Amino acid sequence: MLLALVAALAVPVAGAASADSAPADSAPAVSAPAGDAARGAELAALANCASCHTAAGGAPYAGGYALETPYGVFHGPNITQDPDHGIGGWTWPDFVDAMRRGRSPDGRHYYPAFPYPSYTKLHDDDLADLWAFVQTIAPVAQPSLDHALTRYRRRSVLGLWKLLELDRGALRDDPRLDAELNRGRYLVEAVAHCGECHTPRNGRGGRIDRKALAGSELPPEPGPNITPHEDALGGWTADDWEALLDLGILPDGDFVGGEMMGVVEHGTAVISAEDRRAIARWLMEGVAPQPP
Amino acid sequence: MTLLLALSLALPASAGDDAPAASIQLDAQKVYAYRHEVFEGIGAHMKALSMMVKGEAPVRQVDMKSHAIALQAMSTTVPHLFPKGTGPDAVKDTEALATIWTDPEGFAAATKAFQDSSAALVTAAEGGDMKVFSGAFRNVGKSCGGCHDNFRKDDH
Ligand code: HEC
Ligand code: HEC
Ligand code: HEC
Repeated sequence: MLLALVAALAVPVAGAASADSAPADSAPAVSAPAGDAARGAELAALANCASCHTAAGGAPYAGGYALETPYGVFHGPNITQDPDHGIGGWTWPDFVDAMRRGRSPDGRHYYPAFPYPSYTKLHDDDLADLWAFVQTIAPVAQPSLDHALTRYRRRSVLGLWKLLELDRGALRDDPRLDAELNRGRYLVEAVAHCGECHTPRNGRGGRIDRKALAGSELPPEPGPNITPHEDALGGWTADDWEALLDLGILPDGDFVGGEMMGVVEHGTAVISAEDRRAIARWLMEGVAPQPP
Repeated sequence: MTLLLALSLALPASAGDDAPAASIQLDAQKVYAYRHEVFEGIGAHMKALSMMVKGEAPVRQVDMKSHAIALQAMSTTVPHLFPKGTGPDAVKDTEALATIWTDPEGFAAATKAFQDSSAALVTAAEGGDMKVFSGAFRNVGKSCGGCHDNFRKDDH
């Protein structure tokens, strides 16, 4: 036990390197593959990149949004193409490192407030499309704000966190599932990262994946249990899901609010009806029912 | 006109003080039961319209308009649904938050968002373009969530 602890604590420095050889992770090609910026924009919408990287009333992606968490306030940084304040100087491998490994070009660990524990699951071609889109974001010379954290102020501890909590690499299709279910699972887990708000977390702030989507109490807002359990959303039909994902309306005519309305308005309402159907089917048939 | 304007401007802020026309003894529990029914009705009209927007119900412009008018009409009752003394201190089951009475300007703004968006819904229904209507419908939906976020209990 003690030994394990010592070993784990010793890892952060070497951690990044050893984790790099994880098998599921394809090494990024040095030159960027040709991505489709329009498809990337759609992915960015469903992945909600703008919400955390845009201040209220601010320029798109120029940063400044305050994300409240139990660990303090994170500020989404400027990810426009500005070379000084944004990521205009980044290369494709820099981008892949950030999204898959949660690591900055100068080797710092990112906080998982940036949902790379979900984005790590993105397929290579989707990452390429996102990269193509990110490169179209107009530069804005606005400095990023520092985070105001009460815990985990030192990034060095994040190396250990990643070892324990980050399951890295693109999500592989499950051969037992049909194409639509695999698509739904991928959209829910990798792109839309529903679990970031709806899956309970352990004391370290890592998602408890065996209780996926069973509800989370964490700020800024508790995300309810959305599994097909009879005491949760077990009674929802495909039409109920379509209405929620497109309009934000609940079966009784009430509407979701807060963070969820943003997810709907900028994300699930914008994607194709086929993709909404895939998400709905995964949530009805693929996700394990969890008691509230 | 000026008087009317002044009156209507004064209304939202003082809404909490509004006494019912006939000054029957205000029973907090009954006020709650009434407003609960009103919101259920509002929800029912929204649900019915959503089925039209999603193509699950026959789309007749005249019916679309009826629902929209009903919503617009009900939106004008909201300022009267929350007299002082009908909050969580007085009614066990209410999901109304005390912020309704501590932040009357915020509540009035949330009410106005519903009134404005439902008025726009009537206009859209009269226009008859489903795409425009669907956009107007989404805006009404946002006004519901916008008020619930700050003035209704979360764990719904
Ligand atoms: C839930 C909020 C949230 C969402 C959604 C989000 N991010 Fe971020 N992102 C952050 C935060 C917070 C940081 C800063 C992390 C840190 O400082 O460790 C960050 C950092 C980054 C960085 C590194 C910037 C730098 O200067 O080092 C990039 C690039 C980035 N995000 C891109 C994206 C993209 C692309 C998406 C959508 C696919 C996205 N983010 C979605 C919160 C978010
Ligand atoms: C940024 C956080 C966040 C993300 C990401 C998110 N949700 Fe939510 N979700 C919430 C919150 C908060 C609520 C509660 C909304 C309210 O208060 O009205 C909610 C409510 C819901 C509800 C309503 C449940 C009920 O019983 O009322 C459903 C269904 C839902 N989300 C599904 C999803 C799906 C599917 C995804 C991924 C496509 C998703 N959510 C992504 C935060 C989020
Ligand atoms: C100005 C604020 C406000 C607006 C706008 C608003 N609501 Fe509400 N709503 C409330 C409050 C407060 C409650 C809780 C009442 C109570 O429990 O005493 C409520 C309750 C409800 C309920 C009842 C839930 C229950 O079980 O009692 C439904 C359904 C509902 N609202 C739907 C809607 C819909 C649909 C809209 C938009 C068309 C809407 N509301 C607009 C404030 C608002």
